[in-house]
Amino acid sequence: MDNSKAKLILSVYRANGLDAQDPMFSEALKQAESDPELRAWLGDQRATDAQIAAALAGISGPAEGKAMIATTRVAPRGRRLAWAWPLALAASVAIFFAVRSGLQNRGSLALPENATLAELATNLSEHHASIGLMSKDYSKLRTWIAEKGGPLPEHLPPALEKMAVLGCETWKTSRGKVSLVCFVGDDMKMVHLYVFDQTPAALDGAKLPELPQPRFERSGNWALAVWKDAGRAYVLGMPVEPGQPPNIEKFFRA
Amino acid sequence: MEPSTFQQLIDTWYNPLYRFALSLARNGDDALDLTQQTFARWAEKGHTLRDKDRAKSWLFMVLYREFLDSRRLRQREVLGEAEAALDKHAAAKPAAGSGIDVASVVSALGSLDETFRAPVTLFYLESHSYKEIAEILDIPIGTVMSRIARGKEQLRTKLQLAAADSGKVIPMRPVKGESHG
Repeated sequence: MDNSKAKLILSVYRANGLDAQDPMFSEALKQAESDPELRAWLGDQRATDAQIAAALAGISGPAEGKAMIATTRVAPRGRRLAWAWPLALAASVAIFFAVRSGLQNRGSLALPENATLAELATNLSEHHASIGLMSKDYSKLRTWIAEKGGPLPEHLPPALEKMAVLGCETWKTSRGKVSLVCFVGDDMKMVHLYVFDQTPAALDGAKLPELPQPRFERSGNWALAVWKDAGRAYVLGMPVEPGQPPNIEKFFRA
Repeated sequence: MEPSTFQQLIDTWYNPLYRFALSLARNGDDALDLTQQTFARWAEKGHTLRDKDRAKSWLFMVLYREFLDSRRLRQREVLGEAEAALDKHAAAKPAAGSGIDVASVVSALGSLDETFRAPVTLFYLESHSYKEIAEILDIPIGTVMSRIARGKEQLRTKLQLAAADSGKVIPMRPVKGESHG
């Protein structure tokens, strides 16, 4: 083996010694022991590699990002897997938002024909929900939804404008296309904004109000606000903790 | 999947994945997104992996593919944001006893030719053998070796130039055929 070949092989030899037992390096290492030029080259490589590796190891990801991932959980639901999101990290109250993914690629999702908007939103949340893209960048979420052909929110309730986003999803359903954007507040509680592509009249027989005065509803453990804007129907959903007032109205105050 | 397994994966691989993502994306926000997205994919599909010993390679492979997919969506120019990303997101500290600081390494890695950036970063994470790097990047072993060898040379040159600009001295042998007088 000439030194060029030996150097090529030894270039991928890790400085931490984890490759010591790999036979591919044996001959090149033996050659380095007997060849002064190759030995010096290898010594220099190892020293520099160790410095660079140590510098790289000095980088840590943001702790809040790790905490957010750490609170996700997987729970089997029939044949599909679901994973849950934290709604109350700071308070250590685990309210789970079950999600299932990949539905947008499996054709149209069947939703109840006679369900109201509020019922459609809770149906999606409790049985068919998923997160297609996780990101704290709202523009990135909008781009992703647009690429999937999902309806984009036009105007947001005032409080949502100030909240961080966590992720989004979009589905083709038997009731038209629907998008979801998940927001999280300073209290780490999450709210879900559903945007329905069908005209409001087609989705809900009752006349929908417009922003900033939505209709407030209650469905199971969900507090909901329903409204229309620019030809689309919106539902803002928030899980209600036992004994707590829903207070979903606060999202519509300037 | 047992929650404890998921937690173990997070504890072990969150930071290495973030480092890999940071070198690819070159800004902290996108790096965090990629890292979170990778664990989301694990939560969704990790159960399909028969050999759980391959979870490490699987995670890095998924992150790399997520990066390639997300690159299409990126609309903003991120060149030169690596140092800012460190200030904002990364709890960076100088490498102990080293003449090379974290910011210089991130900046130099980020400025590598894209062909070299992923294999060289994976090599310096020190968690992956050359065989695993080939699997993660889906390229032949010979290509991995040549890209790491050439990428390391390019990285050393960039670090030397950066050190020269800042007046630091990094003891490195000159690359053959180049003058560093």
